[in-house]
Amino acid sequence: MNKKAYTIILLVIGIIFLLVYIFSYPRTSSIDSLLYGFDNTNNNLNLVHVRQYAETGSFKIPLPYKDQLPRDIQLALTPRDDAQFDGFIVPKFSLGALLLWGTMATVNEESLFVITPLMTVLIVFALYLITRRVFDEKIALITSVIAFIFPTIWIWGSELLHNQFPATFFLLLGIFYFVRLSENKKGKYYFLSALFLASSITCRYEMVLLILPLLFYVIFKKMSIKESLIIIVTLAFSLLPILLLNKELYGDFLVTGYQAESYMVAESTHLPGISYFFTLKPEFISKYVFMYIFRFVPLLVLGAILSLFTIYKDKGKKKYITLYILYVVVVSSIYYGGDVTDGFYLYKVNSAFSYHLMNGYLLMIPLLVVTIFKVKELNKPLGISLFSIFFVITFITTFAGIYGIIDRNNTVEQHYAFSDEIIKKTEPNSVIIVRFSGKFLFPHRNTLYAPVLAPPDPSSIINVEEFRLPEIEPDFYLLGEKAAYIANQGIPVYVTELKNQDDLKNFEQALSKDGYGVQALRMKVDNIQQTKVYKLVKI
Amino acid sequence: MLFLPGFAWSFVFFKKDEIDWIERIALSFGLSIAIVPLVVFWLNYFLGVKVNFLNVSIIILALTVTAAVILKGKILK
Repeated sequence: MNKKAYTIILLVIGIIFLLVYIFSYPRTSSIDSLLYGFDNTNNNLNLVHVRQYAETGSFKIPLPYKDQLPRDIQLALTPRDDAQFDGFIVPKFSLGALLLWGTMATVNEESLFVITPLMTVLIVFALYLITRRVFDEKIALITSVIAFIFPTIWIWGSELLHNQFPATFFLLLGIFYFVRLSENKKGKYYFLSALFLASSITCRYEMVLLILPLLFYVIFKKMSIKESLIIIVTLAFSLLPILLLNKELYGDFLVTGYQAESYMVAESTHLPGISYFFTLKPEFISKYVFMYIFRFVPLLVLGAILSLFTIYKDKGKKKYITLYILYVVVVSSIYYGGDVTDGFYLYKVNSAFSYHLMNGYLLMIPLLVVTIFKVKELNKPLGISLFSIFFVITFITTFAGIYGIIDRNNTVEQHYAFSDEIIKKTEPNSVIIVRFSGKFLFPHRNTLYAPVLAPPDPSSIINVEEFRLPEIEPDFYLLGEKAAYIANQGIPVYVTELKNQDDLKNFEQALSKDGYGVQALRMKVDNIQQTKVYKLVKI
Repeated sequence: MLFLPGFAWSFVFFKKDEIDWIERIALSFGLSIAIVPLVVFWLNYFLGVKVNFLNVSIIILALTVTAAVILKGKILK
């Protein structure tokens, strides 16, 4: 086949998969109804802030009941994974992708429906370009087909607003133009690689770790003044908006949303706060690597490692890109592995930990294909069998794995049914005390985040330095006292996601001091304690 | 917004037959989604241009036309 034929085949497959991704997620006719059907917090909060930007030109959302409630309760009026600063609810996540989606929503909000599936296809195109440049067309095409069906890509890429996807697209495109730059030092390659790599950092700040080797390469290579100027101006053009937005949203050029959330939680709970800075925890890293590399994609890892034996003799770009890919995998594992907690013992395909390693997974695919081609050269039936096994495992994991597409879509529909019912049965000005569902009830209702509203006594937490907010148990007696205070202001108050009857008893006991009790709402979806919804009523 | 400005700029960087369609498509989307939000942000920050449908549309058009003018200049040279 000639070069053109490969291009046409990839274009056709890309268009098919764009449609497949779009229809893999339970999208409904309006983006409004999707707002409370999301199954992960990023989507919902991203959309809320994006809409705010499209309407007002700012991501800040005014805090409800700002002058009516005391500061400790105000601080809890922030949905999980958002932050609060200076009387506004502000985004916690990296701001580059929000800027992109916000600009898109200004022109046409419906375009947000397709942006992540489109990014997913573009990611595969960028991977094709790198692989073709480093290896050849055939390896690049097979790599692309595997990437299209890869579980992490398909499952996360069919969702709506996920900042990993623009970040990865920019990273891969940046790497591609970096490879071009290493071959031919033209000004346009300096500009394109700097622009895309910087854009990648704005979408996910930790990308800076993956870009470090490329940065060192540029620093230690001799550059003309013109080339240096191109890089500096491009970086300033791309990165300064984030610093300026930090100042506007969090009060300081160098404070990010992650730190703002940490300060907010620390002020409210008097606990030391969540550390978002890298801490080396070898025990967690080894478990993470075992769980999400060796167990999740064993053949991929094996293929990547074996490829070293076929490529080590190469003195050119193949060797360098292979070493860089291994660097990406190792650094991602150390960074994300060091940041995880015990929560990751539950192995599932749509876990955040699976997309954290997405760059590594994607870049390892060409190495696997190189290895299988080598095996095929030595023993054709064995090579074809390996391909088939990998293909089938990948496909089954995507669909029928724990929280694969089938499971994920059921969860989305359950969330939709749950939030739809709550919204129909509660007043628009009410506040709902929640533990996890703030992510899809906000902004339709004001949500109070229980662990921040009623934190446990710090002395009751065994390892106070390493606590994670969603994992801590609120003090239900304190929660009752605060709920009664809010109800006394004339605000309708509801509570949901109480874990068991003991929590409810403690909650009711505190309420009774102020003459309040609870009345369970009749819900269609209330077969388990966590989905029951109670309204505070005067006894 | 997602394609057109980047598509026009891709011809400024690479002549018609210098790159194939896969690279042209990836580059067009990449340039558009990287540059348009940043230009909108900078114009809002320095000149107070409001972020709304009309202004963003004009910026997209201006970026596309600028690329076309540069291209025309290159061809005439």
